[in-house]
Amino acid sequence: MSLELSLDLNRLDAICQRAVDDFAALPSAIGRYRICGELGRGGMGVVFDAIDPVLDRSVAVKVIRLDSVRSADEQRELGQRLVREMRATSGLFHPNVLAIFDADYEIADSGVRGHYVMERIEGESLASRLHRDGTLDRAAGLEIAVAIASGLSAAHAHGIVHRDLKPSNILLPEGNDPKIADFGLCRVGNGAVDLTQSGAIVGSVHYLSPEQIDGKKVGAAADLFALGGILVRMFSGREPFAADSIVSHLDRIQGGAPSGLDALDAPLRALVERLLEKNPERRPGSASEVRAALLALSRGKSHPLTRSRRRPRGFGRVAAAVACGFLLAALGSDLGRTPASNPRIHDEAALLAPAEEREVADRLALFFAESGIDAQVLFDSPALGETTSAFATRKFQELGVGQRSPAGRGLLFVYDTRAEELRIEVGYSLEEFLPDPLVAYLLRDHARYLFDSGETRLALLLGLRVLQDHLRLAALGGEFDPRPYDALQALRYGSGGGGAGQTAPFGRNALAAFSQIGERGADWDFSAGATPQETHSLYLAWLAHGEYDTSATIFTEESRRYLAAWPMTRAYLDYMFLKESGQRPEVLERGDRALIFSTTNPFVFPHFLVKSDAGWQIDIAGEVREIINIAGGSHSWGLRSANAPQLAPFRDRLVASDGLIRIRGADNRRLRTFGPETMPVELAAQPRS
Amino acid sequence: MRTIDTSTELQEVSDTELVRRIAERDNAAAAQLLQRYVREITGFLGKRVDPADFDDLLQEVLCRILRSASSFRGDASVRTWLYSIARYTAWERNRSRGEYGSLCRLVDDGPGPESMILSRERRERLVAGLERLPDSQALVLELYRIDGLSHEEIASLLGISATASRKRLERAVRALDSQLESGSTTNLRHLRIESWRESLMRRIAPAAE
Repeated sequence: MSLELSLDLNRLDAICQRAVDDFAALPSAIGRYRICGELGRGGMGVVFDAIDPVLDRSVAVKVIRLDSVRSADEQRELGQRLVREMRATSGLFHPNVLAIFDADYEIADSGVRGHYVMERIEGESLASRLHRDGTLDRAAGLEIAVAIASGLSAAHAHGIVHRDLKPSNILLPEGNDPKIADFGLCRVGNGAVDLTQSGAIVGSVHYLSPEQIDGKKVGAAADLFALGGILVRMFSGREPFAADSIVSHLDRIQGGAPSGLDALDAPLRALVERLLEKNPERRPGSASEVRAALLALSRGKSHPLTRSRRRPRGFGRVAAAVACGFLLAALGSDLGRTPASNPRIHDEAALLAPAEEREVADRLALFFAESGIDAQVLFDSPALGETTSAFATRKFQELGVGQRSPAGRGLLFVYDTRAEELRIEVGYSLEEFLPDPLVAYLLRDHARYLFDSGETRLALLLGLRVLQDHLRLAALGGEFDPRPYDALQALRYGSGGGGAGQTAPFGRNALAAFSQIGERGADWDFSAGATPQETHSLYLAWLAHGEYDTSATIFTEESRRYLAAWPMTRAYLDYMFLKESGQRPEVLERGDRALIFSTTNPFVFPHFLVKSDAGWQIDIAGEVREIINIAGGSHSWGLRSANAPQLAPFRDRLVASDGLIRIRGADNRRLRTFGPETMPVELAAQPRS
Repeated sequence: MRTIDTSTELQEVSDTELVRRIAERDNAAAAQLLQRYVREITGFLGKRVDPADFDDLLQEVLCRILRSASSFRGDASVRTWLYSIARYTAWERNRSRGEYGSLCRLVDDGPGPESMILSRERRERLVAGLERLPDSQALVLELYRIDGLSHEEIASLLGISATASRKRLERAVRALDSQLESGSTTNLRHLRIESWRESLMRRIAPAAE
């Protein structure tokens, strides 16, 4: 017993020692500022509690890592951009703007590290206040809003736009006026992204303005839109454009009516409606005008901006139908017309090469055979002045999509070549099987990304596969029953993939230790199984170039429970990407842990493997815990912590990037950036066993 | 293995003084403070986290204590401050993993925790309610319900009076009750991903049996 105790104490001592080492590893100084501790960590960096020894005062030092992959010149440019932005802000002396004292940057092996020095305040942010209290009372909320408008007014007068105004950037010092923090920071971040990709969006999605989403010119009116959102949040407790997924969230900002306005009294509501106008030109002319209106409200007086006016056209447009990226269309009855060359592909823009067109056509035919759904593809530009959605609806009818289907089920992939926008038009008898946020997310973001990068064929095949899989699960659950699904065992997803001649992505060597998997020739293709677990096993067998053995214990016990509830196996999607793109994953083995990850495809999720008495097993539970999926974010996935037991052995291969941990040497490209946000996935159609 | 070097001089130094020295980046003071409290914190955390996570979580708590020492303002005792950090860190960790086991014990001390299954909605409200409680109340609530301490024990632990402990508990329970009664879940959007995990877990549960 005493031995056990002393061992335990040794362990505690070791943990203490590690904590002390960690503390000792904090920089002792940044520039001339002595670091005392940490105030917080955010998306863009760490804020240190520091002392300026020259002026003998407390300051906050924010350190941001700007980029690590650029050339030296570009890195210098990024650093200088930070300094320029902070210099501009530092000229702004206003009680409602957090003061900036200093800024600098350095270029090290790990990349550009910039820092800037701010006024140190005691207090909390508006975000944490709202998190705790839910809503604010009218007087307190208006006081904060007036302060924000004052700060904005001063900044705008200096030509500085915040661009990322949100509750977490509003600081509430104890016994002092509210202050806006992080002016100009967004622009630095945006600049950093701009160098790698144009049109990227940085900022909190909740308070982004429609013009920011559209990538249009952003001016002071964007800050007013954000202020409108903050007012709604303060008084109603709701984000005005909240939605289940980031995609539908952005849709709502661009086209949906804000929610939460019912909680506002009429004059306040009138003001907020003006602030939340989609068209920046229709918003109030200046922050100082808004401030005057807010002051009038707090004094119970009237102001031109607080008097309601007739609602502008289109204001109440509801975007529910497009929330998941799907448009519902009434199915045309007798307008059908069948084009000559290929009955299902209408490629007016010649985006597909002939061989690709044949492949896609085969897949569409197979999809029809398997699901009874008449899916067609259209690449074309709409008539002048016609919106993508009107165009899609019109074409759906003109092409008679769905007429081949016994149940009248039709679906049209529409790529608007002018707006470069993808729509999926769905017939009336189909929509209930489709609006799974995960499906919508994949189709809209991933497929759109693939379209953008010229991978038209891959985008279509991916979209079809995902739909097939989804419908199949619905069929298994008894919710969708076209005739072809009657004999589920006969169904083979891979059947359209042209298995012959294709080889598995890597040989048996890599997973030779996978003793549960039997030998099999090189010429077989992956096919989905009857359950997600089986599908996963088959995927692994395909990866390992082996044969799937139903009796094999290929998953950890905990993982099997996850698989039973998994809506669409990730293995399946990974297969899609690997197979359709012809790319290869890498296997990394360290003792009793292994990682399978794609070196070349940023969409493919890593798999965690663990070796047990039963041989190698897949640790899905570990994945669920340690992988963050980011909807439309800067990466398609990231890892939570390098300390997790699944990841610790690979620490030398892990790299921090944009606040996430990723695998060094893999394709860690930034994809379309909507700002980091965790994707909420609702489980939709489930197999019922 | 390395051992922590602590001079006898430091053993005499008060908690508050140690915290002040840590903010001056005195690593010996840091080691001394941790050594003083690591067993207590271990006991406190032990009831709140999965044993497999324990070392990792303890280390995170200790790291946070040292990093935030410079923000310690002395309006509560050092011990209360330490416990608040430990409580918050464990809470954050459990929430991020969708584990709310210990919550059951906070609202119902009738049947055992396993027998009581909170409905998802009820639990979301409870989680929101707990997040809104001031640290001082939440800590008393946990020490009373989870750790089973008496008000006298809580009082001596946190350096407050037993009456103050009773009052805080009363307020905390009242706030939670009203949260559970109210229909408002508007502040719960940030829990979306957790509720997803949660729904996943619920689907798993029958399969596990």
